[in-house]
Amino acid sequence: MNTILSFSIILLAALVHASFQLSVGCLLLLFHRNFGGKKTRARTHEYVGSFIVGAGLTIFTVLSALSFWVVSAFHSGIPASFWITEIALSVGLGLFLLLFYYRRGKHTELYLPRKLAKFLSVQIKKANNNHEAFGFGVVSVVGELPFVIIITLVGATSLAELTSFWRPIASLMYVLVAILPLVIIGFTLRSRRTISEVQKWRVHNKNFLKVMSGLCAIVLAAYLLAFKLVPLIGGY
Amino acid sequence: MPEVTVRHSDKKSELFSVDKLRASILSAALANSVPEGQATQIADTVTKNVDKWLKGRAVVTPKDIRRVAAQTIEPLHPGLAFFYAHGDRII
Repeated sequence: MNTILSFSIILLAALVHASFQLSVGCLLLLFHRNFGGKKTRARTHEYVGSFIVGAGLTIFTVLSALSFWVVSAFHSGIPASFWITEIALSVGLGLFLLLFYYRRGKHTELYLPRKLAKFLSVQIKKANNNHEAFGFGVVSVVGELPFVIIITLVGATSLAELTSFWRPIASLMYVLVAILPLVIIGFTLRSRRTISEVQKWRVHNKNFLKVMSGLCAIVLAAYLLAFKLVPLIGGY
Repeated sequence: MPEVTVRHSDKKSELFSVDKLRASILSAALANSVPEGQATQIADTVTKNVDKWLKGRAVVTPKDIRRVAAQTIEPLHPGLAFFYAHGDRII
């Protein structure tokens, strides 16, 4: 029962993680700058692949590091105060996603420091090989870490509660779900769909994405409250 | 053609460059799988039109240029027009 519960929390956390859009935006910019810069389709897709691997490995590293920290810090079980903190942060993140994450207007600009966004879009133009594309995958995850770390911490806490047999499987599941939008967009662009079709879809479904991601974070908080905090305080 | 200043939102400014505009349209078109010949044709049409629009203006913003360019692209390639109009606001 506990294993299933931990897996469901990790899955829900990964879904919220997947709804963050900086990596998706960076992937589209990378595709635009390279395919638009007369690189061949095959070479551009290689870069897209490297970008996704970079993003995936970074998520895996952050998740593992946080999980290691949780295991080392709480030998005798996760205290109620820690769950309360995670619940409060998840609700806060949900509200942030609902109210502020996307800027208003017919575009997909995010609530990021404009200097960071400009830096990324200028630097992505210069990505000229697989290593640089990999590096941008890393940077796109790190750039959103101030927000995403809350969700990754929830995932890592549930990961720490699993046995060592299930941990690698759950980590892999988290990473695969978190990079799923990147993989889907990678395949969409590979199947001869154009970047404008992808961007149009993102703009038209911006509100849906906003509501879904915000609600998922709040549902995750409710889930933690009902299945982790209440049993812990209630003592059953 | 008299020099036209492009004023950015961060208050930096630069002189309008036809080559830069042409390159950005070409890049957007190629990224949208528009064949190279058609992309060049679109880029030429748009640069001509923007050039005409700039006459009599001393200062413009990049937003103005994008808007006028996108309006010209619209009948030629609606998908590309949408992407060009909003392509600088992806992240």
